[in-house]
Amino acid sequence: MAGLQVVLTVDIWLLIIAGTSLGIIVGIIPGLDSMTCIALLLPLTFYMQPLNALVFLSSIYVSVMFGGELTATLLNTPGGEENLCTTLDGFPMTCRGQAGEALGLGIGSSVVGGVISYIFLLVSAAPVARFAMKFGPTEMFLIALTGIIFIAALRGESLAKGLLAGAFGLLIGGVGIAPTGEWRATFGQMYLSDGVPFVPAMIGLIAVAELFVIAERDLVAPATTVSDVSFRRILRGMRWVFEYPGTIIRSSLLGIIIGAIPGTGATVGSAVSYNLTKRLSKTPEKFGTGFPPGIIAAETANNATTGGALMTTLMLGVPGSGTCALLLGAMTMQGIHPGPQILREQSDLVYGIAFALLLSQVLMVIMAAVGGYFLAYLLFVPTATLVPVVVLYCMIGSLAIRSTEFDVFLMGIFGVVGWLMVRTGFPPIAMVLGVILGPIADAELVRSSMRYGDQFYFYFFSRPLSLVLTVVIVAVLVAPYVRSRYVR
Amino acid sequence: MRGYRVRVSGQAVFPLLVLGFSVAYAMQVRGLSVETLLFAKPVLYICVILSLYLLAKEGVRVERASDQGQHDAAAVSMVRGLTAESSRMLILTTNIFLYVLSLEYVGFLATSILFLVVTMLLCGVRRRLVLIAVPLSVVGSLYVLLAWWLKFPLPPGVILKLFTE
Repeated sequence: MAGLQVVLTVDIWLLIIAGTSLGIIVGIIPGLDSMTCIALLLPLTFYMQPLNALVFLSSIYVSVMFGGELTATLLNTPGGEENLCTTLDGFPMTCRGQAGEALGLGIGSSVVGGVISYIFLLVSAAPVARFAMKFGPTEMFLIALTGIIFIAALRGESLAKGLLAGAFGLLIGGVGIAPTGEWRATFGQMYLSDGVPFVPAMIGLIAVAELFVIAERDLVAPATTVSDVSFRRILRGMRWVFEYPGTIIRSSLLGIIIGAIPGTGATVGSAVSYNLTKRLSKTPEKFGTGFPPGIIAAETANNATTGGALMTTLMLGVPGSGTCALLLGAMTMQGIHPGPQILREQSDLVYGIAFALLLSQVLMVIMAAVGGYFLAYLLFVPTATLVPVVVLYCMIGSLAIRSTEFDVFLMGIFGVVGWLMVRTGFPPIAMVLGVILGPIADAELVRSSMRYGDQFYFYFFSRPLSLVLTVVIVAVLVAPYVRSRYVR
Repeated sequence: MRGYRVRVSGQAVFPLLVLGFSVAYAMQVRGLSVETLLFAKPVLYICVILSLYLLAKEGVRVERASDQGQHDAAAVSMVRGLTAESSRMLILTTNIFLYVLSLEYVGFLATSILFLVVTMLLCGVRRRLVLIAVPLSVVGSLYVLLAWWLKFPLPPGVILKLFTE
């Protein structure tokens, strides 16, 4: 309980409020993610106490996803790539006149996912972190591939279209300096040496493409009326979350485990959770049409990954995500050395962070509900005014990553490609996941080859976890053909 | 002798784009080591195979010249479907690229305000209050958040730099 005592101070509460508000505001702007925000604010924490600094930065880390969920639901514009899967059912619900419930579902699931993962962080940090370290390069490669193949198989008009979109994303994700150090398909463009930045790609393919479609209507969601966005309906959405306990528990556990695996993060967590929930559902055809379990699966898992990622970062000193790598840097600056000994040496700090994050969830519910309520009124602004403003936000989000106009140009190109894909039945989300997960899959395959030699393919079948993942991938690819033959 | 014609539908656009990019990609990565292409090569093959499959299945049709008339109407409506309802999309796309081109020279503040005013005007907004208040408040709030709060370096623009220096 010493951890709880150290966070019950005015300083900590003020820092949680500041971090949470800033996180939600940053999360609303497409492209600005927790990593950018923490990188920009890191110098401010130099002079803070270690616990204060880490509570402030961790609050930003977990609240950015809340902000991203709001715009993903209302405008089909995910604040970050971790909110991608939320758009699949959140926006259709908004278009159907259930914006309030959709927001409530997202907020409720995010809180539940966060709370479960921080309770896990409190009670079982060390064993989960140790289990996550059993994932070798072959498993990591297969997990990245699973995320894309699941989405490709489940979205779009046909499996072939989904797979082509995913494979094209992987190909684009492979542009830039390869894990071997060689320059690969940069087309003489210096800006592509680090690869195609995934933020402009995501904003272009998902947000801008959808804005192009929305621009042709007079209102974002003509079916939505003022009464659809009351606090009562947001609260009703939050209550709906508890009607799906199985989805909550499964998605939370999945999020915690995937978050704990270094290098995966919230995007993979929400994609795998969404797809698994759809696979296990008795009504899979309802997913993507504005079905509550779709939002619950995506939002519970992406928030639960934060607890998992923090476990690996604190217990093993291995960052569970890009943002955690920055938190690790912040800890090192403060003279804290994460690792298995941290629970013995600085238990107050570990439990203090976990308790602070638990408390921040209460604040986030209030802030996100109020923020969502006011943001929902954007639905009644004519698209002739709203779309140019959101496009400007998208351009600034793309510009913010590397401060180069080239990224805004890329966003425009991806926007046109995404619009073409939407109009011809190809799923842009599969391509985005390809761009994001391509570099991970590529690096892990090279690592597999370096670790296991020429016969590395053998390890896809000889390691138990790899074998399970391989079987799952094959099953997803073969299932549509088997099903069609069976139906015939 | 009965003639045949090859017809390309709107469904061919994306597979053709992927095919074109795959060819360019393949030419770029010629001569790289096996390790570098360990993942890229199979993905490249998958892209080419799936593009050709979808082109053959839905994108390209070989039909008799006698059937041409009825299919021409369908083809025209497909192309119209992609373009006729897309005037605002074309406005937005053009303005995005103009924004990119002018950002470096004109700077963040002026370019962003101009982008909003021009795009809203072209999309049909005529109320002066909206055309003035929305750009000023949106760009102003973005400037406060990014430049003041987050200390994010926004492009000042070459023109402004010339005046200040």
